[in-house]
Amino acid sequence: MKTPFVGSGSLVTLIVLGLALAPSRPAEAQEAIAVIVHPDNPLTTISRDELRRFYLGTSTTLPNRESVLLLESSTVRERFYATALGMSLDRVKRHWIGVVFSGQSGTPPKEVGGPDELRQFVATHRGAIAFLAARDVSGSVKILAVDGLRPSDPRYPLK
Amino acid sequence: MKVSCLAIAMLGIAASARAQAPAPRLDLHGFGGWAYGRTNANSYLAGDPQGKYRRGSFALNLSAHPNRELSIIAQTFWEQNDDATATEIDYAFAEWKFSDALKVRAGKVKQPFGIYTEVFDVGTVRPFLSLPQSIYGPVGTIAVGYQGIGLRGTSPIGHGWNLVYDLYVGGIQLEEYVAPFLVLRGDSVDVSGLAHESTRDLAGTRLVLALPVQGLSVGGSAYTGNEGDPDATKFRHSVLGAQAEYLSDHLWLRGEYTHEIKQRLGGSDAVYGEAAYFLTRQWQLAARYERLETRRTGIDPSPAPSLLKHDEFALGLNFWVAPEFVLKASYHAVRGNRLAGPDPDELAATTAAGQLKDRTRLVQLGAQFSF
Repeated sequence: MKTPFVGSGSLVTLIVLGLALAPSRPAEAQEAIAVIVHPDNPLTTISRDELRRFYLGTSTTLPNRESVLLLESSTVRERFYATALGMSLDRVKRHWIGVVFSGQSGTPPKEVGGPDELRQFVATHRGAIAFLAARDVSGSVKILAVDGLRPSDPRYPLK
Repeated sequence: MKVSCLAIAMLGIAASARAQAPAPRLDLHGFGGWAYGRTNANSYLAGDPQGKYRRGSFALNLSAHPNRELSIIAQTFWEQNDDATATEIDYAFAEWKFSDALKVRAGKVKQPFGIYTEVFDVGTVRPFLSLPQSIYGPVGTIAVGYQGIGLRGTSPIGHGWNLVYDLYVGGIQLEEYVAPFLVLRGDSVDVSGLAHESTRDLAGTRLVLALPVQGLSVGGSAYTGNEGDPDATKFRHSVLGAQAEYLSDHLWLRGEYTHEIKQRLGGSDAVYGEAAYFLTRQWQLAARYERLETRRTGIDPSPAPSLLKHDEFALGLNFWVAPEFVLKASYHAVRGNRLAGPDPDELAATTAAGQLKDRTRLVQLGAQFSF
């Protein structure tokens, strides 16, 4: 039986077709990460510097004097720490090891299961701050603008 | 594993739709490690000429947060060195938080001095198995903790600058390897060669300024107090320190300098510089240089000048299995016998016989972890 011959032109066509049909980069890689808080939280906007202070344990109190409770979503945390804090996940972990053992009162971010649990936890805890993919946010929590920009804004920094 | 009442609170979230006040929390953390060391001559850090493998440590850190303002924090440390096991309370104190800018601490508190005092034995935040001995070794400069009361705060000062400040009063107990002084004076030396000196009526401070360049900070520390027997001879003991640190994802740079003044007795100057670079996420190279010069009035160092000096260069290679678990290997070239030498009870005879070796080569291997 004759083996079908694939010429160089066909090969190029196949590669082009393959590239066109192959899944593009995962949607999460470009999607905005929303910062969420309890609906009663007086904050409406937060700067990246404030986010950094909270997520590194430098600030532990919200403007309404609630102690801040940091939560993280495992699916987007590497990207969150890179865009919001400018730090790798390993570096953030090492930073918190230092905070804990130096006897400071800050508590490291807690990883909470899936988006549903994370949203539910924030909706029931006034001091909670969390981040998750913007598409996973619902009306039970408040989304904060970051540096004055909403997640739908093309200039939103946490992407 | 971390045990936390917070986890229990999380389990109940579905049952409650209204906002909850933060539940009282109890957090448990720990760290530890093991090290093997072998030298060509002398004993230094975890090594001796035969090779020492029985050196391990473990610490438990407990923090309770009964309410929004109050935290109770304690840490116990166990260390085995050959057949001796030591247990110590690193710190046990209460902290009342008025705000992030003002917290009051009372009890036995980690002494805020320099870069490493508050994470003294935590191997997962540093590149070498051991801290630079010229400042953090048994040189009578820095205590594990102070007993007394202190204020701590942190405040942003705009444009990315941040200030962390500490102020404290109380007392500290310092450990110093005094065998070289005793030998030069012609006094007898016990098996440990260590002296424990109390500094009372102490006041100290530390200021650390974080600059807008991410990861860069500079700072200064100082304390002063009275050392010696309160009923007999007292003298003022003061230490000044300067620090600089730059930490990025790949590069760690740290340097410190201390100047110690012991009224009428002398003092010391110490300095170190340390660099570490991640070649990959796991592999890290490290290098460090340090130097200590000690002065003691009434002691003639000419019979063995090396007994008052410590000069060390170290190279390290680390494999970080995870940020919480690291395997380390290091090579140290030491010149001087201020901290490296024969066993303390043999130091006088070795010196008198002219057999003191002032150069020590040490290889250390070990593992360190935290949770």
